[in-house]
Amino acid sequence: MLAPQKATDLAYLALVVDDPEISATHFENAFGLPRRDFKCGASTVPLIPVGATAIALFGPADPFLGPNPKKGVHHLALCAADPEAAARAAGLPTAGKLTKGLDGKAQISLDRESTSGVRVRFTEPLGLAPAHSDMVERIDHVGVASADNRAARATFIDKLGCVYESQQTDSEVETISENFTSDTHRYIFHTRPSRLVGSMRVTFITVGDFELEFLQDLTTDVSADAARHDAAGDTRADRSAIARHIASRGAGLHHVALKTPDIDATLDRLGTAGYRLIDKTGRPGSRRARIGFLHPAALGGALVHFVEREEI
Amino acid sequence: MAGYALSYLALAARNVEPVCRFLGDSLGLSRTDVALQGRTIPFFGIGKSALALFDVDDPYLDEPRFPGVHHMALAAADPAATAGRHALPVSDHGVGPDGKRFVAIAPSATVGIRTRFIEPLSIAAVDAPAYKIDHLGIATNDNDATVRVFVDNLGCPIESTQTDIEIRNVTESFISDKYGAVYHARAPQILGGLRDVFIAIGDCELELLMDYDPSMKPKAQLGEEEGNTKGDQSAIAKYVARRGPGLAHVAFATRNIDAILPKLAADGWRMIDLVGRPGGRGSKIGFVHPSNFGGGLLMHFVQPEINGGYGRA
Repeated sequence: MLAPQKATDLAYLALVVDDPEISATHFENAFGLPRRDFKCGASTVPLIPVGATAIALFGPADPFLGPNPKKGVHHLALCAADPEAAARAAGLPTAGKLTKGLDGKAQISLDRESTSGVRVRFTEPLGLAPAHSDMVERIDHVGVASADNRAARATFIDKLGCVYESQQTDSEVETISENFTSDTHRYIFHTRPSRLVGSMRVTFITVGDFELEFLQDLTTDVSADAARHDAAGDTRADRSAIARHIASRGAGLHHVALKTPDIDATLDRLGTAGYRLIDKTGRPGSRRARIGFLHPAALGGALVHFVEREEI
Repeated sequence: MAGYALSYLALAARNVEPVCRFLGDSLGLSRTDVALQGRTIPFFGIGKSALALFDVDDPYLDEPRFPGVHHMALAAADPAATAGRHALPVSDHGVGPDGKRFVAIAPSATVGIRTRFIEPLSIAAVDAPAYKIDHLGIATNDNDATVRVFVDNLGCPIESTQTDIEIRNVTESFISDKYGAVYHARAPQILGGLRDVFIAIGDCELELLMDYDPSMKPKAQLGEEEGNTKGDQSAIAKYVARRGPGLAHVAFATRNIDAILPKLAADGWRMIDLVGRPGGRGSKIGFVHPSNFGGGLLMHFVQPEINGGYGRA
């Protein structure tokens, strides 16, 4: 018997958008990435090769995605010459039978409950050539709203054979001070006790040529803020977004981050081209990166941000 | 001395009885019932002036009537002549408490601060934990115009001016087992502020409180947590938006704020602050919740940094 297959190559990442054709045009024209079309059941699915993998764009009513898909990042498909054998080797339960997926390749879904809410499928390889552009080098990471990073490590590293990359803790602390300046009486200055307003544990696990970024909200005693896309983001807003995702959809895939050589130039180019931005310049992100978010409406409902960082 | 001194401060309440208990029983002020047109009005001597307690519907109070601080009466031997000397328009005149003659100045001429002149009253006061009025809080949107009336025209001295600011500082940290630690601090953000002017009127001051930046949105919910500058700014902004500028609160001087606040709580009064927090002029302050008196009547205590208060009188 062969050694258990470790599935760490990614075939594609599936996004659900309002209109795949329109979103594909953004990836092609604004990001400069190539495009290929694949048959999938009755649909033609635009596929954007990026780095060593690809982004597949589906419409919200595509029956291939199962019941009631929500806009955003839907599933990721790992390469396996024999999808059923790969699922068996991982020791994870499957959901449904072997079906025909993109380009008629055989694929099988894993039970979402056993993969920390992340929809994972195994598919036969699509045989795409690597691709990149001046603006997008590859996918840097795919964010996951996580309820339990320990469980995610056990699944993705111990069972699926992915590799641990790093872990970090993000926090945002607020300190309020008051000062009273008088022309007659002494200067009064006092500071109230600092308060932790946002905290996350972030675990990076390599899959294919990028990492899954498991984001676990650790904040206590501070309720999540309402969505706010009118100002630059911060840890408090990020943590609130994760808490809201968990509350409304449960744990699962949350956003895609594209690696770019120059974050400020990229945001500037996209802003000039009329794309709605949450961050107009790069702000500090995980892994010593500078990051900037596009408004989710810019790409038809999927949340995408850019990342500039040095790899170490 | 220059200027004028407070004779009495008129408070209006939906229910006078709990306010009498608060001032008399809990604060230990001495009560004098003063005749006014066939009825009696409870007066409480405090320092060199007095608090007069009216039912909110009392006809002695000019419209609009609402619970809170209604008007202040400044002592003048000849009220009508005094108003005339300062070219202040009179909106009402007559015989007030204890048969004393008074004139009421049109509020538009005093930037909304309802002011009367009255012949001197003599109301007995005792030394009590609230030993004098520290100041009358004025919610205003125009400090300069108010200074022109009370300082330039009436000759009351400016005691001091002050700017209060509340600032939020935020630090974010990203601490990784592979990429090390990254810290960054965002630019400080002003949450709220007030510009204050203190004007002496006898043994207490008018405290003009003007929103530092009217573009800042007031906090919706007040009174649910300990007070702070943002809350104070919000209270002032909301008062001015609802009623226009005018008398907003009264503050009593006390020698030990950290004793009186818990004592009042133990007496069953709902308090916003249970320990003194930094207030204007180096003082410590603590607020009483207005719900004790059916709402509207806002009072707080001040432990002045200068023993005996700030007044020059």
